[in-house]
Amino acid sequence: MRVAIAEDVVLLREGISRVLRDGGFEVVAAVGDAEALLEAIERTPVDVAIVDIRMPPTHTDEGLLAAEALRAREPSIPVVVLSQAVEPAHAVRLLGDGRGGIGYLLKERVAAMDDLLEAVERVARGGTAIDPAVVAALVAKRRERDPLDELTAREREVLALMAEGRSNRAIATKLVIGDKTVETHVASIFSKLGLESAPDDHRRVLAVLTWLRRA
Amino acid sequence: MTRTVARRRLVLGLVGLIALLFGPFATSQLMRTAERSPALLLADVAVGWSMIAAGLIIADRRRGNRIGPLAIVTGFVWFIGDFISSDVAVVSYLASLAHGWFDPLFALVILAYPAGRIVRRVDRVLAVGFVVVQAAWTVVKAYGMRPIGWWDCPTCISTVDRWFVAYDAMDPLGRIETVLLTALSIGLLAVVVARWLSASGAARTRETPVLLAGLVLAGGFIATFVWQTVAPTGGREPLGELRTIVLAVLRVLVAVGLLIGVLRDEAARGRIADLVVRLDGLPPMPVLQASLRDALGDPSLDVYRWDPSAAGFTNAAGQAATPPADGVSRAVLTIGSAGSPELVVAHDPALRDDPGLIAAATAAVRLAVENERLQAEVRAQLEAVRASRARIVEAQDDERRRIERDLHDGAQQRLVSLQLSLQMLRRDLGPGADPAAVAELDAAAAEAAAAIADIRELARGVHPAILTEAGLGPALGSLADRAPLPVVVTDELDRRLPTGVEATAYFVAAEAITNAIKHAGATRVDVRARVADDQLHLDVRDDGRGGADATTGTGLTGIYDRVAALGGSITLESAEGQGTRLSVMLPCASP
Repeated sequence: MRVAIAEDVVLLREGISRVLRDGGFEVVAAVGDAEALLEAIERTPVDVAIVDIRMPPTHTDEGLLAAEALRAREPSIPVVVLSQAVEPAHAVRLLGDGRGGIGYLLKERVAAMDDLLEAVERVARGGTAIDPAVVAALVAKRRERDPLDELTAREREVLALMAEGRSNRAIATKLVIGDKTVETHVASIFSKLGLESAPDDHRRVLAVLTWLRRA
Repeated sequence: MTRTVARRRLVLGLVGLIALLFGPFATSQLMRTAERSPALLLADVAVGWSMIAAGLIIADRRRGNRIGPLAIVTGFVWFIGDFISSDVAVVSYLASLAHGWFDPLFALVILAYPAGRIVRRVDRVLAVGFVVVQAAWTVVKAYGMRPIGWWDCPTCISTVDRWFVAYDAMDPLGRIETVLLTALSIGLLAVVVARWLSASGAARTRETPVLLAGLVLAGGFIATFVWQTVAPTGGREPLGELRTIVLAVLRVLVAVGLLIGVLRDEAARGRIADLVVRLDGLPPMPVLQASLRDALGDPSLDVYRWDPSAAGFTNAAGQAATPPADGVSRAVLTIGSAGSPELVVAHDPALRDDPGLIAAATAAVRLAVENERLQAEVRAQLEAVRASRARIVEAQDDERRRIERDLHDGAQQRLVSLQLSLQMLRRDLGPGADPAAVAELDAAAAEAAAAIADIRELARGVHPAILTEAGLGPALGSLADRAPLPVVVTDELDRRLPTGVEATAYFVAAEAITNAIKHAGATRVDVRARVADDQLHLDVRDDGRGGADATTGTGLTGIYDRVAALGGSITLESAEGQGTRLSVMLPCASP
């Protein structure tokens, strides 16, 4: 799979490139800002792009804007956004366009090499990947008359994995349980949280994250 | 001061003494030509004395008021008129010349009433008219009716025979004089009536003596005029004794009325007091000019203000203008320090006669100018302090942003790289590696991960990236996302706000939420942000136990300073058991 990387810190850019190459990706471009990324992708089509949120010139949300630009293209390009801060709002914003193929990971996930590769692959195939730390923060958030309190421990695990963007099959593999069991857990969770069942994994993530952000 | 007053009193006393002796002596002259009743003599002396007495009291009490000396002179002229009956021809001659001045002087007194100044144009025209006509007539009479013999006239049967009279020439001139003085006195009466009618309340009471005086004066002239018209061949007016006495009584009443009127004329001082009140702070030039004109009764008064930018004066209309020089035609007052005039007031020189009034008005204006200058100074200093505080807050925010960026882009990235290197090293070591070394590497990687998390939280506390990037609403949402209790954010903002305002509001909300958790034991916090009237309104309320005190706790104190530095306001409502509500208003005018 071909991948392009935009990351302004050279050390990290090279680290990410190496992890991806070692993981069997073809890194067609590794650049330092959003503009260069868009140019590179214009020249060489890629299967997925990895973008740092904070890049020159303003070091604010260049990466988010670039991600939105890439996903708005036809056909849209899957993007994994790397963030230094845990901002669920960013994840929801990225998921908001209704298209799959989006990832929102903390930068340090780069060091967990297998997790990074797994997430990038999932996104490249049109899936969704939300950093476990973001999900954990949302699950820990307190709500009034919190329905999360009614979930069993196993259901909470399923909920977190679901929010990270994993499919039922991936959840079953991860938890070493049967597919049917996962489906039962998911149905139970949706009913306890008062959520409508979602038609696909991507919309399921968005629904769950939106629900989790409520006060 | 006391000595000059004493000397003045002595002089006035002497004048009074002379009048006391001179009056009866003058009146006694009337006895020479005909038998007069005691009532008539008494009336004659009463008129002169009352005028002089009124004049003396006014001169004593109202220094600088011209009515005092004018009334004294008028009274003496009245007595001098009695000497027409003198045996000595030259005395009789001079007395007859002086006698005619009584009415014009009386007219001047009326016109100058009550402040002792003749300011209005119409009043001045009348005053000048009286003086000119009388002066002209005096010259004509001095020549046309000079005595035949200077000292005595043994052959004369009556006083009339003593004169060299050119009746043919004098008669028409005398008629003209009567007509002119009658016209002037009718004008005077009109002025007085207008004054009386336009006055109200206390002012009308004050105007009553001059109305009476005007009626007496004009009545006298009109009667003479009518008589001369009815009996043009000359002949004596019917000098009914009763008429003379009634007229005299009226004149005495007028003198007393004038005296009371002048003494009661606190209006001028009242107007100055008004001026002081009105000049609370220096009003715009047109208002100042109008106020001064009103207070000093001088419609010709002009004010000029020094304009430092133009290095010249501007008049009340704001046009460049040069104030007149102090002199005969204009009196000029300069307000301001020596060498740097701030305000110049050019006024009628007649006002110099009431130095007390001018001094009071000047003091009022000077006070206002000084007040204005001090206020401007304080305002400038306050503005400088405010700007300096705002700059400090701004600098602090900039510094926080810089530290946050350094943490994220520097230390955090290096740690991530380090962590990545450790993981790669571990992988490269392969499955056959020394388990102790692998454990060591894992521990180091975990340590790096913990450091990254620490730095992330530290950076967020210093200055959340999302605030810079997405603004206050998303930053409040982010605050709610990580709060360990339910925080409901109502974000009604439709635009980005100045960075200082956003940062301050964010830190206020963060501090309030922290306090709600730590001190209030709240189970829910509501945060609402909206902009109305170019003000950011941020409300943070919790359902905790209340009783929060703004004076304790450094967090809140810092927030108060920040809010004040941005020119905002903060209110804390925290009744015991009622929860806590922190409301902040921050000005955020649209850029």
